[in-house]
Amino acid sequence: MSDPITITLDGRTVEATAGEMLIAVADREGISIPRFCYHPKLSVAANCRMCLVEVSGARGPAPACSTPVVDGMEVQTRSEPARDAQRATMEFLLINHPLDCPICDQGGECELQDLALEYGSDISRYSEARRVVPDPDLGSLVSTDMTRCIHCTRCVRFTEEIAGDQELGAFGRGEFMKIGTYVERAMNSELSGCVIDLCPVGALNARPSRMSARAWELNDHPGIGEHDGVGSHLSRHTLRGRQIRCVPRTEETINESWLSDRDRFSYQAASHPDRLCWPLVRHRDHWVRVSWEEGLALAAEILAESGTKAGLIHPSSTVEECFRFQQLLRRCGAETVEHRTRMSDFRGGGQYPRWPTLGCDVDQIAENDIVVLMGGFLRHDQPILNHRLRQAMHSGTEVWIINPAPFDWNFAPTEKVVLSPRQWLTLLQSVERAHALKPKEAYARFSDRLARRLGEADNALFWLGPLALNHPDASLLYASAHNLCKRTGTRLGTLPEGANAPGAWLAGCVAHRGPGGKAVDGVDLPSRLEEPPDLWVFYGMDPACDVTDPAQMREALAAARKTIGFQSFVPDPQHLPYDLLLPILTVGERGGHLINLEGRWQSMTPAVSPPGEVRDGAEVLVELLRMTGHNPGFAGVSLVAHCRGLEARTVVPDKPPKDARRLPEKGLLRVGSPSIYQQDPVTRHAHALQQTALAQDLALRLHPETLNERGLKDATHACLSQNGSSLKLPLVVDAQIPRDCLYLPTGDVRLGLLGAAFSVVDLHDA
Amino acid sequence: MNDILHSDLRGRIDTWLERFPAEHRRSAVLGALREVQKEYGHLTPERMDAVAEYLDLPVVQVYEVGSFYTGFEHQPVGRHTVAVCTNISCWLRGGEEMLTHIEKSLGIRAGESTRDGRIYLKCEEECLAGCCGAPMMQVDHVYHENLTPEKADKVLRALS
Ligand code: SF4
Ligand code: SF4
Ligand code: FES
Ligand code: FES
Repeated sequence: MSDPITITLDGRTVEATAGEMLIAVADREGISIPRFCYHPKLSVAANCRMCLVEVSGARGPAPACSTPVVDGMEVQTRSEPARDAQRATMEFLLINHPLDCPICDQGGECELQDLALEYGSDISRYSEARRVVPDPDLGSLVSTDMTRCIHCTRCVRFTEEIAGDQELGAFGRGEFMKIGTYVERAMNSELSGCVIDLCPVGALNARPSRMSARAWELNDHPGIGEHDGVGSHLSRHTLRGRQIRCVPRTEETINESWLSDRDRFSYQAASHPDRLCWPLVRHRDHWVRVSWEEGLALAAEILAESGTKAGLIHPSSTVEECFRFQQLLRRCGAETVEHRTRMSDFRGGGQYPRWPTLGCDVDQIAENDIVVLMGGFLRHDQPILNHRLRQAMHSGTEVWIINPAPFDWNFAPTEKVVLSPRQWLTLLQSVERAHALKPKEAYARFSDRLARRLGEADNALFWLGPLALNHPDASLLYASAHNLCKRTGTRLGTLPEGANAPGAWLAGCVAHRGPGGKAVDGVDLPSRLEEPPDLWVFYGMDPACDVTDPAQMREALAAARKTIGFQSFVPDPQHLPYDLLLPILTVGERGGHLINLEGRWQSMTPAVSPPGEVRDGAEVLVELLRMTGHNPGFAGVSLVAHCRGLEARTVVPDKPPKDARRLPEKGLLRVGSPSIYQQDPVTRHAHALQQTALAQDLALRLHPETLNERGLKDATHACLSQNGSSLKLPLVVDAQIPRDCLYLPTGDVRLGLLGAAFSVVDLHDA
Repeated sequence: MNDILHSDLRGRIDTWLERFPAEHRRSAVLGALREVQKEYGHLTPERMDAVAEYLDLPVVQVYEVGSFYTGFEHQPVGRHTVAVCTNISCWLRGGEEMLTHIEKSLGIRAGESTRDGRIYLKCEEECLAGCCGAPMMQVDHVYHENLTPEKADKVLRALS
């Protein structure tokens, strides 16, 4: 830290730190200096010249964004010379700017419009030809009107410095400079929407909400991201009860001023044509609309007359929904209540802590000396966490990654090993052992190096990602990771799916644990699937996509007597034989609490009322509790207080499993977890997200030798068969994929009834 | 990539890389693009992609450099590049007339190449820093100063 100094700003004496930029000091003091290219989270470009100010003793006006303060500096931001310089810059900026605000989506929230009002002249002295720039197609999320671009390069710097993959650039020069991709291609970043917020003019806007509202007509509703364990702060903008768009709300400790595209554009799902708006009852292969009275009566009747019951709930459901769901099901005698619907190894349940956490707060990731991630691709799983990890890496944290595929990281991890999931347990065990051996021999192997680094580091963090948590030997991996963390003083964190996995644990949507982690008798999901119950109840999760093995689920559904769905979207009646569908709230409509992976309780209030007769699922569950003769207890606020109390009371038994490995030892192993826009029913119904390449690309990735061995050397497509079902898929050759594996994302409805990941599959000529 | 950047070309790019610290591969973009243009006559997105891959840079950073400098061509052009200066000093000394004369004698407009692929008459935007010999033109990398129509014709005729 340099010494504090004082400078004079518009006659005021203010404190500053030597080397700080003038504009940052002025911002802190509430003195506004006009600017376009400056952004506190991006590097300084100093190319717009709008921030010119008068510095005593300097030869001309100085750009405040790139002038470091020095002791005794005297600065005038609004003197006549300063204003003159600012007005002159504005005149230049407006030479080529169309100023067609009435037909510009940015109108009303445009930095150029605002500043032009203050600094622009009424009449342009420029009568020569104006620049017109063609608009590149950047894909379904970001719209372009490049004639309005003022070349501030904020968007370019964002893609390079924050998104970590420079997709945008400035091509040509001078008057002919154009911002774009050069070769037309859509933006592919998971944070691409942030360029919309950064662009100070109407050059880059949100394509899904283009021309649908004026900024000043919108109502702002604070909300929370509903798709990952970070829980980004955001604002839902509505017009006459409709969600128009979603923008980030600055929260320095979580998402800073960024937002993932998934959180930003998922609101479109709320108005999807397949939205479930009324209770529906199935009659053979079609739906019949019924009233809530009839629907609830039928639900109560089914609950009362069914024998064995199983309920599965999505881990993005609120604490209230989770609590009421397990309460209703358990009171009605259900043996299985679960939110970990993609997990397959339920052994050793007692070893897990009261709820999953990251092992540190989101803004503390950079305080670690080393972060190790096993089994996950954060860009898809938790985009903001990935940004934080990348940031941490750039500030000196070592990042070690162990995965079954190389994945397209937007930073270069310190160490990255691509390893078959068959070897993960052995790897962890040898890290554990290497640490047990005291003398520092030749640490040549990865596991030895890792053991040494974990041992040396003061602050170390070990994450098990979704691929490790959904591994058929997840309990053994966890036990081994737990031991090695204990030995090396490393904190262990897990990264489960969903926006409220900790809440689902706390509320008791876990096979053998009730609210607060209290042990309860139960049947875990795999056993339930072997021996299907009389009744299945699904809440906010799609049994065709959000399960380990869609084929097995399908059979278990066919074997059950009845199926009830609390859903937001209408499934195909032929594929999913629900008997009754009850419409519940979805993104932007829900109120309640989500607990993020830091353990932070975050409350949401509805931004809009739902369409049709959609109701709050938690209330419906309470009504069903009453109708089935049970006392729901706690009303509203006291439920939250109750759950928070549980948080403190939870006891953690510690019992690691002793059983053998289950992952098949031989054969071609299919590995995968859901890609970014296939993680929950909401994103699967968000139109613009589904049009992106990230959503549409579905391919088998495998080693060239794996193909050669099967006589598929130059094939572009191959047939994957599993469980008697087969599917033709495009091939991507990748020499980094382990020879005994192929990578195929899951959770995608196009995979049909392929069966579970982490099982042996067959590959042949298409 | 290896089809475009064959081993000889890679070797030439390596000589550029050697001039900068190892972590500043980006500094070699300009040199690398010049080598590629020398080899193929002009740049294409595929050729710039190959350079990006070889230097391990985002393609966009290579496109930025390739599109910034007017020295890079993006379309096939004639073997010899002729640029006639029409900036202020040359303009005062008849540079524009010189350009018109050359356009006539070659039968093409500035920005075009002769049909036989011999000469590319480049549109030159800026002063070529040969003002004291104005009017002047640059042929490939050689300056020809104090031009007269006859002198210019002679120079152009001599190009193979
Ligand atoms: S970018 Fe701003 S100033 Fe330009 S037309 Fe749009 S609203 Fe008006
Ligand atoms: S598109 Fe917007 S953010 Fe990007 S350079 Fe132009 S004005 Fe700046
Ligand atoms: S904000 Fe200072 S030059 Fe753009
Ligand atoms: S003006 Fe022609 S060389 Fe300078």
